[in-house]
Amino acid sequence: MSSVRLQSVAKYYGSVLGVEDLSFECANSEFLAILGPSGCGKSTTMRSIAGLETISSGDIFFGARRVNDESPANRNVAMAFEHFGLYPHMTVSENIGYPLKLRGTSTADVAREVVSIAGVLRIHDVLDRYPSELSGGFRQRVSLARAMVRKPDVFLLDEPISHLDAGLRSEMRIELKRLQRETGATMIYVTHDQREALTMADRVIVMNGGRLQQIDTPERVYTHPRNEFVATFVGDPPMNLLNARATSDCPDSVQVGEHPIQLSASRYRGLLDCLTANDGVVQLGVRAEDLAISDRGGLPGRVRVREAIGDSVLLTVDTEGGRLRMRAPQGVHVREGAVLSISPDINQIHFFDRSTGDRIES
Amino acid sequence: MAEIAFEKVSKYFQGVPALSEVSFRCESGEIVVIFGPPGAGKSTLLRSLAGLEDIDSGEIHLAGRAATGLPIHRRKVAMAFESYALYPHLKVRNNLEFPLKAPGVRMASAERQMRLGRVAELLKIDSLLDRYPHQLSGGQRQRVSLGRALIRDADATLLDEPIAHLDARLRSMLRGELRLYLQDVGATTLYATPDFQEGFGIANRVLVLIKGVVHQIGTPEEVFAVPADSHVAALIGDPAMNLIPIAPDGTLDFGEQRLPLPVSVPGSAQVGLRPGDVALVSPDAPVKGRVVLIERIGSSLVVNLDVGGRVLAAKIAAPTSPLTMGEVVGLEFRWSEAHFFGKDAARVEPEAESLTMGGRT
Amino acid sequence: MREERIGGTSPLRYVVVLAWAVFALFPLYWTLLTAFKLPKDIFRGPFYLPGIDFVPTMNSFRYLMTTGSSDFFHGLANSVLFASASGFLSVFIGAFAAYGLARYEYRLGPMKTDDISFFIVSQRMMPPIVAVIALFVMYRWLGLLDTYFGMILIYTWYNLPLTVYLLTDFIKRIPRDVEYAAAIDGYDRVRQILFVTVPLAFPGIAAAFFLAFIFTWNDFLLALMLTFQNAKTLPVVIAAWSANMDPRWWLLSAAGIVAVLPPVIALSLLDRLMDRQEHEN
Repeated sequence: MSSVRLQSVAKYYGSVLGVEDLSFECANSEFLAILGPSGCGKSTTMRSIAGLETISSGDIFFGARRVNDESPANRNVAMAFEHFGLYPHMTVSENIGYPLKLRGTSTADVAREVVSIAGVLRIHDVLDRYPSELSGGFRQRVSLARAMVRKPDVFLLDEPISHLDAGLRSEMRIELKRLQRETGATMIYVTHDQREALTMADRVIVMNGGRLQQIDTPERVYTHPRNEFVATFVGDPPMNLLNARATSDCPDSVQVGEHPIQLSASRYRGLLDCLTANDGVVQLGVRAEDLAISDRGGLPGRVRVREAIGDSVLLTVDTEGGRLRMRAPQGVHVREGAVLSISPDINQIHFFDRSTGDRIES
Repeated sequence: MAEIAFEKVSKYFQGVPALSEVSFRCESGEIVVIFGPPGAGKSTLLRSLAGLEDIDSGEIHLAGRAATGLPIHRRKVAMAFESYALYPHLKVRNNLEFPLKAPGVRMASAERQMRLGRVAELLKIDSLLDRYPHQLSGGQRQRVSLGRALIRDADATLLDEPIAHLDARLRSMLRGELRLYLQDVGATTLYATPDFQEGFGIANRVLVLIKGVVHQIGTPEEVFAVPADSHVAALIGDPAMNLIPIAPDGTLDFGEQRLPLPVSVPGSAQVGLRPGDVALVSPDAPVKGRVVLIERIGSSLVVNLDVGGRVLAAKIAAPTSPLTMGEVVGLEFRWSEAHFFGKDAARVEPEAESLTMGGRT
Repeated sequence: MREERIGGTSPLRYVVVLAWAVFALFPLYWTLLTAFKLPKDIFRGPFYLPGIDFVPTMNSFRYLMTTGSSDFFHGLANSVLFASASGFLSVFIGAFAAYGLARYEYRLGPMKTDDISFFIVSQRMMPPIVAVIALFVMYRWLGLLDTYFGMILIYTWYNLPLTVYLLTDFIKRIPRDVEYAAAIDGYDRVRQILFVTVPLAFPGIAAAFFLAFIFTWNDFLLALMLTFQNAKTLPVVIAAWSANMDPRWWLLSAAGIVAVLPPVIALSLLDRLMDRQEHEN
């Protein structure tokens, strides 16, 4: 296994931008997720690493080796796709051994490798079956085994579990993570599902519009999003963004509708530049779990939708600052149409510059 | 708008039952979610009401009339197809208006425009109205297909996983908005989905369908609180309920670890414990597990643990000292909230006195 | 993708294409030239370039419009009539058959749907020349020789296998779900077909019409055998000029050029219609 480093990589399709200004490093044995909506450039990035796309500029390194001009076969990457790509006319063990056979490995060695990999992936019981006889979960593991048997330098996975049903997806998430840890594989995992990315990855790259938005641990991407896009893309439900303005009524505070939000002096000072540049308006971001129903004096809102799902209640509330979603505590029964008073957890609110979308550091 | 009734409806595909004696009633204006894993027969159920599939036995009633023998175009049913089935030769706005121009529908142009605007606004497709289907992305096409089903007055509105291919943010937003719309319009709706959050969020009542058989019908709260059998229990909750087999000697089977049951439940073969009823404690507890995956959901943490080869999920408030992968922790179960199921998967109730003794172990 | 062009270097490809173009287009070019030549230029020839080798003239065309006009225009009109009518009828009737074969399962004795399809298409597998004598006898008995009705009838029969074959395939390609959606939206079978299937099958319908038109337009054998005076078509008229006396190449060429025009017009019209449909589909 080796590390993967991209330096100022750009890829254009004619005049259409694929990715631009892309620089990051995936350390040896790291699980890196590339997260973003469809069309953000994540697949382009992965295909560039694999060598299926030629990049327009920049460099790609595997360890110390510059691989720009190497063909996919020579780069020694393994890829796992959404639809497995198993050979239907071969048994599981033949499928897994095929890449080695192509390389000219001796039959004895092939058999040894296949058995060893099958053990790691717990598919030794089905080695003599055909793919059509197996369930989705097993097929996925066979596909992974075939990719792993070549002992690649890098593993590239492009949304490999998105089409499986919920139960199986859950299982596979645990499976893939376990696999990565046990084998120490360098894994780059592309997905549009933020839950998948945040659960499995050591670090997450968030992409949008062909550009890297943020690269950080899952925890930090959630708690310290770099801009509005990351803030609303990561987390379910997405972070609420409310319109807030500077107010002359109270010092060191901003106003959402008529409701003032008191900030510390230093925090307010940090906002000043942005406020002056944007006609005194700023975006306030707060997550659903950081809003609470207060007795009085909070931001007034009317409940539009109440969703009671299992043991959690999610409310959609219309306020003067915009529409938001918040979690209601158990036991408190709020009706649709009711008027509430809402207060945010001051320590968990973020501010974003309305024109650039960037988060304002405090 | 009218009621729907299924009476012992069965449908076979080459000898394999797709629907087995399915019976239920849906009141006028009610939203009933057909909830079940892939292959359960949800699509077949919807299609048989629409007339796209013939049933082999039983009766279907729609708005008081028997539906058998009634040709599709006379059933007054609206449907959002899984394959979208948009008219490729028509623009989006004409696709949406198509049902409103059908023979027998008398509607003024102004009313049509009003409905078109309303649906377009709900589904955020206003900017796409003059495009053709081939110019749209998959998610956009799905919304147009849904819009076409919502725009008309129908005795039954059939939605087959109508938001499955939209991105997560849009889905999250649309769930609540859809329910408001359907309630506002008073549409009697059957909504098929395998997604727990989606289904239980939008339903007035839930019908749990597994392999063509109805396992439970009730309000989302009822089904969640008291799942009728272990199959239903395995599907409910996010994450789903943990199901642990009980060994014949009355202990919980965790491979090498065994935990005696603190309650006496004769005839039970499995116990179900919600992730929220599994607590993590110090590693010197009788049952230990290794952390294999940590997931943050809002302010809670979902921790997947390997307990003697079996994976359990625990949902806890974010701990003060962070958990690490591979760490070994102890588990405690809240037995007062446990659900018991027999060998036949049906619910079994514990003996009353033993519960009060149980508490926590 | 790293693309590799198959076929080697550019210049060679152009040479091959050019050679073929010359081979394919030269007859047309020559005919066009000849139509504008005087008899002396033709026989003294060959001259290849108008204005340089020879002086182009409208002589032949003038003849067609005046002296030879009755024959020529009669043939032309008949050809247009037969080609259009049989094209339309074969598509119309063929569409019904095609819809049935594409959407339903049939059983006719031992024959199932695919067998019936094959039976219809097989009508055209036999070279018409084998059947002409029989057709002549049959038509004489029925009094259909040299009649408009008779010719339209025979050309419709001649083209049905083609239209049924083309349209069945086209209709099969239209997903059934779209028709179901129309049914669900409240449209009965007939209206489903009219408002959904037909618009979507339009490129196929246009293509089928055009091919039927062309086949009828170019037919010589059936016209020769089954017409004398009244219903004779353009190919027969032109052939007659060629047989009667010394071949009057200039007239033949002029008539040939004119004969090419209706199909070309038809094709360009249909092409534009098909283009619009393709774009929408």
